[in-house]
Amino acid sequence: MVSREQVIELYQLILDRPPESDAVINEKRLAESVTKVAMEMLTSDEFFNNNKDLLRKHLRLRS
Amino acid sequence: MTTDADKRMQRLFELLLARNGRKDQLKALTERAESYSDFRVLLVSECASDGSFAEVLECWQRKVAAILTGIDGREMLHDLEVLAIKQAEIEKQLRVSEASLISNLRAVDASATELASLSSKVREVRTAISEYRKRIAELAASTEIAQERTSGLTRTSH
Repeated sequence: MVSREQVIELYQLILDRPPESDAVINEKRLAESVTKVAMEMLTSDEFFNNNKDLLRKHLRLRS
Repeated sequence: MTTDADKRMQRLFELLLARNGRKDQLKALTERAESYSDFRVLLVSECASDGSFAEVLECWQRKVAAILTGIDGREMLHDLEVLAIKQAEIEKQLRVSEASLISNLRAVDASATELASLSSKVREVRTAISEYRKRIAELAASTEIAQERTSGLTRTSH
């Protein structure tokens, strides 16, 4: 199980903000691993919208 | 980059790669990244090439492709609209030019007819003048002969 601290840390490291509520933290803690929580955040619309230009630049360079 | 950014990079690297992360890999990524945000994307791309986080990269690619397709589609539609407007303007100008050309051709045609008619009249007048000159010459010759006869008769009577 993922710890509360890990969820909070991932929020800060990936989404650059604290989690909005304890309910959200508890929901994320149910994930089977830290990697799964990170992947959920990385594939979220929030992450994409906040990093849209950067992702466009990187993915265009890769193609 | 700031120390805080370095710390964040290191921590994210540890969390995402757990025990699989190598220090040289982290160093290489840190050197390539222009910012912490840049590092995050580079890290996932790097992990995706190893198999892990591949679905994150695929998700980003789909979203970027959707944006680009949307933009390209909108740009294409806009270009088509602009082209349609230009085409309509050109067609309108073409119709005006065509009408003007037809009108000018008719005017030229009318002028040519009038010119032909005038040329014919000029020829008639020239012919008439020539005829009059001929008659005048004949009359002058007859008058001269008559004068010579008259003067001959006058000399004989004296």
